[in-house]
Amino acid sequence: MTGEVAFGLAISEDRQHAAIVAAGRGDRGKILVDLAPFYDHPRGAVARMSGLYEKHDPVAVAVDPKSQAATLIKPLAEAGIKVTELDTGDVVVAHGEFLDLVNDRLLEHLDQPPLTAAVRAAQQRRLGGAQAWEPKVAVDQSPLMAATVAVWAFQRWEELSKPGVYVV
Amino acid sequence: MQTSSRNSAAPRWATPATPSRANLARAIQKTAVVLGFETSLGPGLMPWQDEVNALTTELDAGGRFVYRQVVLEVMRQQGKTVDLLSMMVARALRRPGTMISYTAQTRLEARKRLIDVWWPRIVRSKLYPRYVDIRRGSGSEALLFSNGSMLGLVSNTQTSGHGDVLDLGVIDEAWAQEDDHLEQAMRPAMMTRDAQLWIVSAAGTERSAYFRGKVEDGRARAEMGLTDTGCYIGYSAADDEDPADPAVWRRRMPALGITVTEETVKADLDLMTLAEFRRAYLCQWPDVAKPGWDVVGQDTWAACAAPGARL
Repeated sequence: MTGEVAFGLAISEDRQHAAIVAAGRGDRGKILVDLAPFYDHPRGAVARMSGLYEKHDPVAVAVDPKSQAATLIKPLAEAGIKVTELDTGDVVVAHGEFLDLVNDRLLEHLDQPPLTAAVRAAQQRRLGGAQAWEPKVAVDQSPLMAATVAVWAFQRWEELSKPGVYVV
Repeated sequence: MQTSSRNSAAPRWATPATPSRANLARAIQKTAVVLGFETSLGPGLMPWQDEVNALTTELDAGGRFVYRQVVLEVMRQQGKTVDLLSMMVARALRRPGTMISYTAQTRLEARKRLIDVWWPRIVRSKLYPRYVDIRRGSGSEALLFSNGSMLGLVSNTQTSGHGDVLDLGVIDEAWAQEDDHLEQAMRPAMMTRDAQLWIVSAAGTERSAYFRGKVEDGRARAEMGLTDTGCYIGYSAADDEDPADPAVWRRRMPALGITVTEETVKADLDLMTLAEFRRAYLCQWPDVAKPGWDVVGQDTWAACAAPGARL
């Protein structure tokens, strides 16, 4: 990873896996998601994120505070990591944007089996008049949920970092 | 396990039976006859039900149940609810004060089954009015036995079972449970009792993580030949078997040719989606019955793959 990246974190419903996904612009200009940073037991997630934070200075570290990953927020903060928490509106936007990027072929992935398995089994649930990923399915959804919040956080950073005229 | 003489279907996985152990199969069979159940084979239960009851109610030398947990995976319309009612009533009559909790997909479904299906059958039997009465009050529906036993309902949103103790918990249609909260509600009430928890269902959906876990654990235990603590019996079609082949149905559906006809199964195959038929009638799980890609198409996801890309 050499460019700007955002990280997303999620924990599986059975709390046996945590996923840290990096999202950024790939070398072909599309948004690329990479599960390589971490896919293991949640107990190692904060330490791994601390290392990634120091090494890559990410533009954001995103967590859905109404998910299993909520338990990471406090230890991440204690480790000195600034966490971006999504509200309900952000969660449905993140879901919708992720689907749009996939359907428009504007997202790239590395064909990593846990992420592909999660996408294959993915289901949706109603949330706030729109939809979000359904975490309670037989196949661990944490890679997909982490990728979704990582992409959302990266896009928000891109919006803010574009040159423009601002009224203060 | 033995297979029936009229039907060649055998479970694909089953905890090995221990013939030297006593069991309650005969008492359950007698109860089924009293309740008026009969098939083309005659009064009472089908052979597969009898075999399930013999295994699941095996008793140790002290007369206690060997298996505190029973997992039964069987396709729809094979007679599992008939077997469950016979088993529960037999258990209620066997020991005074037996407390039984039953749940289905929803409390409403369980209530309908108790009041609209089971109770009329009991009323027509010689168990009524001497041995069994009913309490219909909403929220406290139960079969009340004259020996102090009770068969009540548990809501799938309930956080605690009926009363302080439980001798038999039955989670029917367990595929509808998304987590183990019902089991967590029942288990503590069983701690001091010679109790059993029955978890019964056809195969589930992507959301049936609770029952899927029980099935995987049960199959592993059966493969290891374990004959203590928990037992599993699973009827299902193999992943690569043709779901439209009647020979597969005969090999896998234990009630086919007894209470279910091939014509009925064929008609349902024509009317249902293949994925639902494979789930409900062949007990195949979504990774086989339903290959996924419901939200994101397989081709779409494949088109986004860029294995050599770098951030």
